[in-house]
Amino acid sequence: MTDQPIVHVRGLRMEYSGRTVLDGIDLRIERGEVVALLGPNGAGKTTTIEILEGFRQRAGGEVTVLGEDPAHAGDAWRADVGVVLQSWRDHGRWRVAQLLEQFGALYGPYATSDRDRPYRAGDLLELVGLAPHAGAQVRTLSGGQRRRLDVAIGLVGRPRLLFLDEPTTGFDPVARHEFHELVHRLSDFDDTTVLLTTHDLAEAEKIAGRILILDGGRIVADGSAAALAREVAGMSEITWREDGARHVHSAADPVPFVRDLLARPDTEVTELQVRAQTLEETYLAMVARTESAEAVTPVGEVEAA
Amino acid sequence: MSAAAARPDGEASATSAANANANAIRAGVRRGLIEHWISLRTPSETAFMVIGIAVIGVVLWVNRDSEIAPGASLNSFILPSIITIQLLFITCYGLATVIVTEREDGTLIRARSLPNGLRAYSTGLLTRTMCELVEMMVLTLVIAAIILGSSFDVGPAGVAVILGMLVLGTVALTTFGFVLGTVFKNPRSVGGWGFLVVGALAYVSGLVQPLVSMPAWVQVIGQGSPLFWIGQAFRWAFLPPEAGAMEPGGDWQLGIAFAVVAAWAIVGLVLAPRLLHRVARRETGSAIEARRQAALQRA
Repeated sequence: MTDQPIVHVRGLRMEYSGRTVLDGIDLRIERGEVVALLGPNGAGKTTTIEILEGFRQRAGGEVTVLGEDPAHAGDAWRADVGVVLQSWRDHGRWRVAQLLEQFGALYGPYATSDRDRPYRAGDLLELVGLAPHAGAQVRTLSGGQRRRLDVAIGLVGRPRLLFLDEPTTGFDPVARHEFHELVHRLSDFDDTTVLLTTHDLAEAEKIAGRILILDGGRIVADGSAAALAREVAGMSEITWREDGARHVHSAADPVPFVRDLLARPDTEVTELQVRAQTLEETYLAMVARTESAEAVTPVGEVEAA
Repeated sequence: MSAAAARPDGEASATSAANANANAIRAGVRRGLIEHWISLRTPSETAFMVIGIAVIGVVLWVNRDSEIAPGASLNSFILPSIITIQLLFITCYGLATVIVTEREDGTLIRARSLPNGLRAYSTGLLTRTMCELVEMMVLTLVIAAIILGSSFDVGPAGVAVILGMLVLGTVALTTFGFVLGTVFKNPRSVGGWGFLVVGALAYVSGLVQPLVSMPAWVQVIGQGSPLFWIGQAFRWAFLPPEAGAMEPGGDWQLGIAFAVVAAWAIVGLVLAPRLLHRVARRETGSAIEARRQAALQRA
């Protein structure tokens, strides 16, 4: 698996009863990458992931995941792929460790020299912070704990590629932070490639090396959080108070503007702040850009109260 | 690099696939035993079984002195029907209910996300169904033997026919449990329609009143049903030979009985895995989420 991308998609198309959901997606994910798929509800994130997981037939285009077409891949391929779907309520009466051992047993025959399979249930529960609940019934877990169990099941076969569909829904801030650490560990030590969807932009910025924004069935942006911010130019935000009124200005390079501002005679500038653009703003700008089908409205100096 | 290079060569991968299959079946058996154990520890499910057994005991007790014909106790007619209906409910109705429920809560798609997951899942279902069946049969026969006493008279040939028909009937009905479970979409429709259909089928198959006492067109339908023939084989084992006169055609037809049930078993064996794969393929995570949302709206 040296130069072959882990995921390679060209011209992926999908329709539901005549409505185009995915309109020519191109995507390439290299080994060890952590990629976040962002986009508004209904943008096609889950559809894309379900096609890559082999759970949904596509309408057109080429899809190769770990060297095979997911629509026709067999059990050995399945053993290389970990799946965490959006919602799962199954096996409520099983015990946590018991369930993990049950599923792990299926991966034994697929162990290789570089991948010891399955993960030991105890280690895995330690890893996702569920060790104290090993003997608990699955249905007694809280929403966030249940989600962590789903992630553990996705990992039990030590996958080369892990799909996470909104993995941290229902996590409290501590669990979320631990989950982020976990994803970092996976890509650093286990060489696991991760593709996740999320609504949490801070999360995407924190854990993903690359961010894809999907909107209207197309990929409208592809790059690191910083690169995306550069792409939506002119967006550092400068705020200050002048003669009792608050002012806001956006600029690609805030330095010359601030220099001029401070050099103006007869004005007293106070409460000056310069804030780099957040991913949230980049995201909103990009989604707005495609939705209005015209360029981002130029943001000039605005008088604010 | 090609996909094949990452995998063992042809021969080795054939061995490892067989190995993985055997491994999945072992995992499936373990799964079935765990699920059965969980079910035994669930009071509502155990209560269902205890009530069923109690009803059987009462029915047999009330009719302990009645005779259907001179020398043939009514209970020897009732007992084969009870066993057949139990077989039907556990293998067909019970199994279908489990499949439809587990399709809705995501168990089926979870199975699909695992290597050989569907094989382990269906093996688990079969194991669990077999456990329930054996328990129910043993309990019923023990109670029958206690209540019926000396009139509980089954020779070695009878035992052989009962066991043979139990195995064959289980295969036929279990596969139709899979079929029913994949046809219905909603657990409630299995509970309602499924129950009605199964009940009607038991009636039409001469398990409630003898088939010969029903209109001719019902007799035609009844004789196409595997239930009628399973019931006849059991009656043959429990009733004296002369009771064959009460069967359609005026005599026992054991050969035809085994042939018809075997034919149904084969049809089911061919259909069931295909349907299960088809249904599992259609199932997606977002469909489960959509149903979860719909269920929340209803609640």
